Amino acid sequence: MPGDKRPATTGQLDALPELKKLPVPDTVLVERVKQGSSEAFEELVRRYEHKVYNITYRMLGSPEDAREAQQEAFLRAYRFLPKFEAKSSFYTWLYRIATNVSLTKLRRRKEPRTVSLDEPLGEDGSGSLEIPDEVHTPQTEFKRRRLREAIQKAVDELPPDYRSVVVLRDMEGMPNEEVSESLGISVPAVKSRLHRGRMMLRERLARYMAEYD
Amino acid sequence: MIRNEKKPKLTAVKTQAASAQCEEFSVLLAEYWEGDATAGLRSEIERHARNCPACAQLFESYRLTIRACRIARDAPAAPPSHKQLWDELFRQIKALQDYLDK
Repeated sequence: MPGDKRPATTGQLDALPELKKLPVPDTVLVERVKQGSSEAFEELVRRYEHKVYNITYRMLGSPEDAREAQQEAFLRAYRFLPKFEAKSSFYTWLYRIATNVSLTKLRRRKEPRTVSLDEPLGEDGSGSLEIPDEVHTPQTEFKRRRLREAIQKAVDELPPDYRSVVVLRDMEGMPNEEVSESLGISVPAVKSRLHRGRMMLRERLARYMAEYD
Repeated sequence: MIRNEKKPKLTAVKTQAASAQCEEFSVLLAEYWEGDATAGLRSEIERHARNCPACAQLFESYRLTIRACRIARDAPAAPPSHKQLWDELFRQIKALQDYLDK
């Protein structure tokens, strides 16, 4: 692989050493990767590996699948980076790749764990959705852990298109505009899928919480 | 806010008009929680929930679902170490480069 073609620092930068401590913008790193710098790509990986793993893990619900998808997402990003035109930010483009890789894996699963969109939601409203208090005691931590398990199980059952929106918006905290860019759908479509996804999640979550009681 | 109400007053029987309102209520919940609803619409949504037990329950469980997702967000999944990931990526990138250079 060709070596790093970092531009030499100017005298001005040498006079202001604190400027050198500022993180190099993604756009600059992307240009360096395009010129063949593996160090620049490693820095991009370092910046986004956690977020990408979180997305693939929430989407796939299995650490092993999530690791594979994370790796595949970065490899695809590297491969297609020369075509990346910076119309969106690098990270939304990367999240889009990570989501698509996860969706492809979900669709390839022999026994999909998702339920039909036509399935009626909730029968008798049974099951309580108890959210632990903000204070951190052994009891609330225990409840939180169970709640997280219940959420992941409930998310695993969402149809892929709803799952991706719920994961990016509610579980990863991305703004609707970034979710829209990451998934290549309009903001109104994001909101509509998010609402339906939340309604489904709400029913399933209540059911799992009832199982724990 | 509805969630601050200890016990919402219950309406006895849902009329046809109330059912139509309830259907709309479900759709408007998204606007409410995404911050897209105007102040007037927000008050209307809250007023309806105060007077309709079914919608009050929907409102509360919708809010709790969003909050539950945030609790999950606070505990990120544990990814593989950077070294483990980068070693594998570097190996595959090198293989790809070698293939393209041929």
